[in-house]
Amino acid sequence: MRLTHGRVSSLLVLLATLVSVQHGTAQATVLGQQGLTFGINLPGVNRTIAPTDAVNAGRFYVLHRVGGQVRLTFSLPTILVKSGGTTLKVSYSATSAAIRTIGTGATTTTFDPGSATSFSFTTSPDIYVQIGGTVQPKPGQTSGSYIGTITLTVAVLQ
Amino acid sequence: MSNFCSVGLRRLATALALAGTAAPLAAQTASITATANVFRPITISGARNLDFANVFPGVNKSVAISAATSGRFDIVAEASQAVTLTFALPGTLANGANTLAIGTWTGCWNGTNSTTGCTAFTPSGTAANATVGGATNLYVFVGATVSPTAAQVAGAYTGTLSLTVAYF
Repeated sequence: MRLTHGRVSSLLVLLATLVSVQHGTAQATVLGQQGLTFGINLPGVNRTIAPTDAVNAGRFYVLHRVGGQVRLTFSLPTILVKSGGTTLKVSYSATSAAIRTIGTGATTTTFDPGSATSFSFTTSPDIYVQIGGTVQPKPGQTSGSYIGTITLTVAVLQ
Repeated sequence: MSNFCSVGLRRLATALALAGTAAPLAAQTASITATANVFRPITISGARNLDFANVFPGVNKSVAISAATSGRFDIVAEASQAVTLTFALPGTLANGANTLAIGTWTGCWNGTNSTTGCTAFTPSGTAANATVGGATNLYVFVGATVSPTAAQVAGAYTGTLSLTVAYF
């Protein structure tokens, strides 16, 4: 193949177009809207927050585009920590996360936050991704406020 | 030159194809916090009985919360935390089949074992809010009035007051 000035120009235009298209489809926004709150807990008593709990479940807002597809991946703490380093165990089940669609005919579908999950936007460009879990204070658990960080990564597939 | 460009274009095309199918086009992350508060279990004990001592037919008798014979509950809970106080109170005291009316309940709570500076509430009303003292103690004092009838049968009359304490 021999490149002429004309072909080089065409190639550059093609590459520029590809870059532009990819940049355009890669637009996605994820916002952390509400923390996961387990509230008051007593030693030796587990407490579970459902991902559908509007008040206590953690909530992210994801905006992409109708027709697009994303992969949702959580980074979840297995312990919460209080100042001084004392820890509190926290766990998640196969239904501890949920995707809540927005708009007419909105639905809520639970999924396992321990595995990456793909979602295709069909009717609305945005969704809520909600997360619950279970804290397991052991008998004799030290009093105090325990905290951890939950991160959601949204990878644009289409 | 021609071969170099050709190979380079194939690699570029392959890379673009892979980028378009297997790898994500972009990724965004956001974080939230997970929080839990662990509180010590609440312990509560009936520390002092509400005692009207001797009463006489037809003469009402009250025990004030500040009296040495007022009822008192001692509570140990998480320091400085808010709790609710919910009472189950009798309407009468009993002596076998005979009854003695009791009412006009008064209450007061404090972080120290004293009614001085305590916070008044009505035990017979809806659940009252209180705050545990900084030393994890809460004291609840209760008073009331008994109303013997003019023909009240002599005897010892008793009843039970129950207090439920919960975090909120």
